Amino acid sequence: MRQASMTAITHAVITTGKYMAYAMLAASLLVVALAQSSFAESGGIGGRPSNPDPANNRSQSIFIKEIKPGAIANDSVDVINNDDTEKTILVYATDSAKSSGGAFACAQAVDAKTGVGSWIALEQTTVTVAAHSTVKVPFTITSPANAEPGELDGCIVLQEQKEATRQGGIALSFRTAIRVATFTPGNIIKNIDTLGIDVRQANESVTLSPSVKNTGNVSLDTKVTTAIKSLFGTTIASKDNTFPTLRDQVTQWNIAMDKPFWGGLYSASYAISYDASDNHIGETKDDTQKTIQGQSVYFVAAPSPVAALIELAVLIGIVIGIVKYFAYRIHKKTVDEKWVDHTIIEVEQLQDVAARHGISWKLLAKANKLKAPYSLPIGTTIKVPHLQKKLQKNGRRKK
Amino acid sequence: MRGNNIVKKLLKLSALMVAAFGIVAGFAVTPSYAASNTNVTQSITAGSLTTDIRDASRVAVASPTFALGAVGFSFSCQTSTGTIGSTAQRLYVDNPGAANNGWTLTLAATAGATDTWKNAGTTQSFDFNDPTTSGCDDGVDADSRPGQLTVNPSVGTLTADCTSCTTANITKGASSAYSQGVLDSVTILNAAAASDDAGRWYLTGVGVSQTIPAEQAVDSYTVNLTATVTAS
Repeated sequence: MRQASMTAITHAVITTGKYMAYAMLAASLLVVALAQSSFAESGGIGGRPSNPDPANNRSQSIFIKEIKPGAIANDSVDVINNDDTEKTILVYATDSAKSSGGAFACAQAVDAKTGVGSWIALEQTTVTVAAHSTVKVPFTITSPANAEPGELDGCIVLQEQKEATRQGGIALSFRTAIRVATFTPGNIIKNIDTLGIDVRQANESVTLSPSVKNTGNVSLDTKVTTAIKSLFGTTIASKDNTFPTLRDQVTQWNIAMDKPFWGGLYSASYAISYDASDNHIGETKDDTQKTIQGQSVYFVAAPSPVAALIELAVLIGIVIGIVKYFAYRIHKKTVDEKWVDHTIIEVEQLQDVAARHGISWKLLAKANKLKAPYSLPIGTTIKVPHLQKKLQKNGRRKK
Repeated sequence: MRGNNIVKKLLKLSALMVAAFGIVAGFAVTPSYAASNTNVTQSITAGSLTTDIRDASRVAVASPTFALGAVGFSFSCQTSTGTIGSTAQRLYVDNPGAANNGWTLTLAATAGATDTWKNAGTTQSFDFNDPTTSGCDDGVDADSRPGQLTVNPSVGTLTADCTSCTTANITKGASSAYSQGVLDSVTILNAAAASDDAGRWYLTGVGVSQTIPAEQAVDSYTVNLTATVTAS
């Protein structure tokens, strides 16, 4: 009996444990499956240079090629599919284009190629890339024999092949582009002219928009420093940013800053600096920074609501103070010119003297700078209103 | 005999439990073998710069479209407004270490500067880049239709969507109206060199307004625009 009970208990333990183990096994497999799916987050398609120059970090993101006139450069682009499904990707070259504010942009596929876009020949223009895979597409860049010294830019664009839709409204397509910066050796001119700065104010921010023009024949990585300063020259806010400025282009940046807490008159200033040496973009050896100060402008900033309340309270306090001061001066003049001396010859209370002369005891005490307990020792001389004139004045009032 | 069966069952139970623990432990712990001359390395490579529209769960939206506010037929020139980028359709830019000196996001007509807004049958149209009288009249351009589209990224909201990145050093473009041959591309975002080399951001609430010519036919119109992200 006892042995049978022990056996039954043992079987129960084993059975329960077996089910628990199966449950743990299933749970652990589920955890693994969920973890794997979170690591495989779906992305888009894109690309990057296949053969970056180890000496130039920028060549990891864009193509930088020095090509003599009439020469051919070879390279390839990695076409990347980050998606979970196979993609057919269009690969094509375009000229560079101007975008608002002078930013770098690429022409559309339908636009005629007259610049660097026409120099680029890709081995493939349509590539099928498996999920989470990369395909290299070789290309050549043929510089024209009459290429002039300086930099010219184009693009290699990657775009998923899709049919355009017409559903009403703005239908968006997407593409990734890689800048192709080509340099023809020769007389390289680096120059930037400052054009001015605009100021726009919103509720809580001030946007400074400095403008420059690159009058050289190469693009320049330009550091722009913008600042808001008080009338005393104290810097209230300052920002540094570095952007490329493209040759022959006017570039304007929009730098947002916190609005000054206290309202008032401020100046918006900016300075730009760039490498004036012979370095190509991305090269930093022996760089020589040239700094140009732009023309500042003044602007009036409205105070923040809290600052406005504080300034209003201070203003009211000042006005009250001025009014009180002038009232005191007028009263003092009256006392000095029109009140007469009164000598205390017997013990009197201040209130009685004041009542006899038709004024309040507080006014009498204040005019004579008396302090508590306002005693009037015999022989003290105080100023009091002329009693005769007071009676005459009261008489005129009664009439 | 019975005892042997119990022992076998206990052994099976133990094996199951060990397997379960082993899978979890094996997944959670990267194996490292301490040998005298063996190293285990892990490389993390940069990804590629991308842009698209995704929903709040970061799932790509197929064929995203943004409708401007419907307007009634009018004998006068009028304006319709809308936004690009919303909670359900966010304009994303991913930079997984691909662009190390900044990038730009620009918007231009897919079919080029001569494109127009068209109805489904392409029998009616109006322009998106004619600046004449702010788009109310037709100017000297390739088409004979008025109309002008203005995009204002400065009123949009840029959000960093990763724990290690910020929106610092990314500026939003100024309000710009398309003008054929003069301004064919609008800058939406401009990331400076000091912007995060690895980051993910999305933009919502980009303002758009379109001048609708007087007596424009009643219909639903579409214009195709392409968003391009380019490493600087």
